[in-house]
Amino acid sequence: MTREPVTNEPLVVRREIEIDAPLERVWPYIGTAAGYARWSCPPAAEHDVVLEPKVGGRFEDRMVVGGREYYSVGEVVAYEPLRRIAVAERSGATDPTGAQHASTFTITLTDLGGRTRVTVEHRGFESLPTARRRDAFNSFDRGWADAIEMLKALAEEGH
Amino acid sequence: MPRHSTYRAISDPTRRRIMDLLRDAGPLRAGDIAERFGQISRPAVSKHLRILHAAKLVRERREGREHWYALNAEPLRAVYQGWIRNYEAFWSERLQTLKRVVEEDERRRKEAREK
Repeated sequence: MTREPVTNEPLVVRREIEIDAPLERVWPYIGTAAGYARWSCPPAAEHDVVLEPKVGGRFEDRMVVGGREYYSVGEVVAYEPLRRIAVAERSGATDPTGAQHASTFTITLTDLGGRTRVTVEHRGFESLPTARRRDAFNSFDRGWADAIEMLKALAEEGH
Repeated sequence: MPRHSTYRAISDPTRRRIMDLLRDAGPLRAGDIAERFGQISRPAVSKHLRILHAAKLVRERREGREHWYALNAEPLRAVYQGWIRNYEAFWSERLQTLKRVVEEDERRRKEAREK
């Protein structure tokens, strides 16, 4: 008799990078709309971000990538300057039955004494239909991996 | 994943403009580039070219005392295509639908206010 392995582990994107710049220099890229917009998607894009810097604040992210427009909305659910931000994003239907997808990303800064560790976690893939879950996870995982490299480059060069 | 020096190279808007220029009009010398960009000094151009060269995004060729720079688009393609292709794979469907949902919400709220 064979049994299919059952995974109860939630799918969570977790990406980290260490930046050669102090907390004060990195935080504006996390906690301000203009800063966040500069690294969170490919640089060739048009990119507009709304980020109200408080719990309950509005979050919007509009970008043009590869000639196509992308858009998401959400709410800031954690806002601790120099330390952490979390955004709960709402999405529309991702399958014909209209299932809603809600996901949350959290960006945390850790002081390494003049250097900074940035940790991104993105969770909520369970609200997607099983067939789409792994693809979505991989897509977000790769996206954040690219983005934090860009963040490191920007923060270290002091743009 | 591309090397970090690639991200460093493309993180600067001036360097991206230099790469565009080399793509459209290259190979060029540092002086040619500085000339076309009025506000950027010759030493600044040289610094950008050094960073691009370290990331293998430009190739350098010497002719006598002149250094000519040409774009090497391959590492760039790897970053952009990978990053952009990633978006198109999943996000487009999810987010295009979301946009319609949000716009529809807005429209209904507006109509409700106008009643």
